Amino acid sequence: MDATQRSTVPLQQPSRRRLMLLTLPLVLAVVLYVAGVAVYVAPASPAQIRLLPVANRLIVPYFTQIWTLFAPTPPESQRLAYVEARYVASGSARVRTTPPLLVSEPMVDYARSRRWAPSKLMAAALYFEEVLNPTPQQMAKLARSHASPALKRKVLDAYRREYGPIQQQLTRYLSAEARAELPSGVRIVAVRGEFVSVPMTGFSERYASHPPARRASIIYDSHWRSYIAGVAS
Amino acid sequence: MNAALAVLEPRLLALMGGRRRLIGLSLMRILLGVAALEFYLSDYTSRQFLWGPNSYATWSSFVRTMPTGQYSLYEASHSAWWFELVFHASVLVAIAFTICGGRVLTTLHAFLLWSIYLRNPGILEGGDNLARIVLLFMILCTTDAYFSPFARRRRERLAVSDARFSFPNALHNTATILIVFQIATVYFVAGIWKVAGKSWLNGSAMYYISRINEFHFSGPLSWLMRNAFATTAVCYVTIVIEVGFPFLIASRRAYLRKLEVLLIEGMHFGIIFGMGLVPFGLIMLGADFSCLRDDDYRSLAPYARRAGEWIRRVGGAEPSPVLARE
Repeated sequence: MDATQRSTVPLQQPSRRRLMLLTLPLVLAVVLYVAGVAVYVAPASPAQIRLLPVANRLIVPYFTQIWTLFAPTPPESQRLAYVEARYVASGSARVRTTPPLLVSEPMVDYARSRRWAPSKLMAAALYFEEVLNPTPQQMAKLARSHASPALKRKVLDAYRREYGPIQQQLTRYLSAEARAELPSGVRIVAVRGEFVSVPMTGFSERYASHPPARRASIIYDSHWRSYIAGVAS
Repeated sequence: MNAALAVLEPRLLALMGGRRRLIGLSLMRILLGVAALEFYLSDYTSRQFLWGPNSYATWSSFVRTMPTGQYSLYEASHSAWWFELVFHASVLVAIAFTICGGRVLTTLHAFLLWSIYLRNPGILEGGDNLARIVLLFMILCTTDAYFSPFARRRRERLAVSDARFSFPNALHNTATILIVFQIATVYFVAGIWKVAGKSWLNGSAMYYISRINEFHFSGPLSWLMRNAFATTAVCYVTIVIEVGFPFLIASRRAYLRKLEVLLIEGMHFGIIFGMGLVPFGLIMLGADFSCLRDDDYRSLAPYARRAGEWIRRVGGAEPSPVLARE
């Protein structure tokens, strides 16, 4: 007999006690999960903030979730990643600097060329900008604040602990990109990454024959960092 | 108290009765498996750069910053051979999971997929979040009752277990409820956040999304989204089908459930074709399949048969004798 052809013979019911014993823990699990998720994903409010520590205990780390999906406001500017490198050519002692090399666009083109299996490399390039972008502003705010030096030091330490690994990843990423761009004979000394934002043509200007020029702005500058050799290419 | 129990009892009995949504869960298994394979293989030649021991995402900081209570198989060793072994085993398990399903393969697949997601979170695109959660619940579900080489045998066994109230049935049905709740949450929250966004309400959001470099995979889509009516319509329809999802899926009217899933599947096809978010789209398509009941799929079977006949006719093949007799 197939499971789809359900028997019409009434099933033998379990005793009420057995039924409660077996199903109530499951019902309780569902109720807890539903309540936990509801609090976790709710917009911040005085009530949500009070309940969040309890919800975190249920949801983090296995059921962590963010579902904004292009909301509330989708990006209205393009993000571009540039890499610069300082290098010494073979047979020379002079340190030269490359012009800023646009690395995000070739990756986007590469992803588009394989539309059924787009590469994730472009996400790697732009992830750093997403994570590190607010930090210069936070640092400037901290420098301007009237907090005691001890407190400022504490905040800086916390910052280093949190962002240290990502900063290290960024240096390795820039090193790998610079290595891929330069001939194998040259010795790379230092690398620098710049993440730039270029506003898109606004919706109201989409048919304008001469839309106003858009100014690119640097949203994150890694500054010069020592090159790290041996990153997989 | 007794009155409350009297209301509760039939529902609890239903929980322990026959397993539900077996067709949807089987379809979801296939699509989640294909999405995982796409994730593993789309950057096969760059795997060392993205996840290897000498990746730009350093192995030492990956181990050091591992969230409490989580474990990735990639942290067991820094050696290249271990990475290759785990990576290729993950691909093989994903293939087996897609084809066969079953609890053991689901558990293995979930563990291996979590492992690689944890190895480099910087390249994830959002669908992974749902896949992680849903795979945990799928471990408790029967996902191989259809579209698997062992499906017939599985259904024969289920016919026996469905003939009594049992705890495994309750476990399957509870996990299924949680999966559907989780998917409804995704859409409802995404829809509500959109309602809070100015550009979604003034209808320009889709214009901007279709122009983001990383997601600009279709010229016709961004051309169409220049039109004020088209972009506003797409924005509003997106909000309506997302916010309405939990209510329509829970509806007693089958046509509303089917219409909602059809609309949301259409949206995800659009995301795959127009924005190039293939693994994300596949995961969401798979998740949507679990929101229809088995009876909904059975009612769609004649349409699928007719579509199959039409494809065969267009392809010039002779109709099969069985279909011809029908």
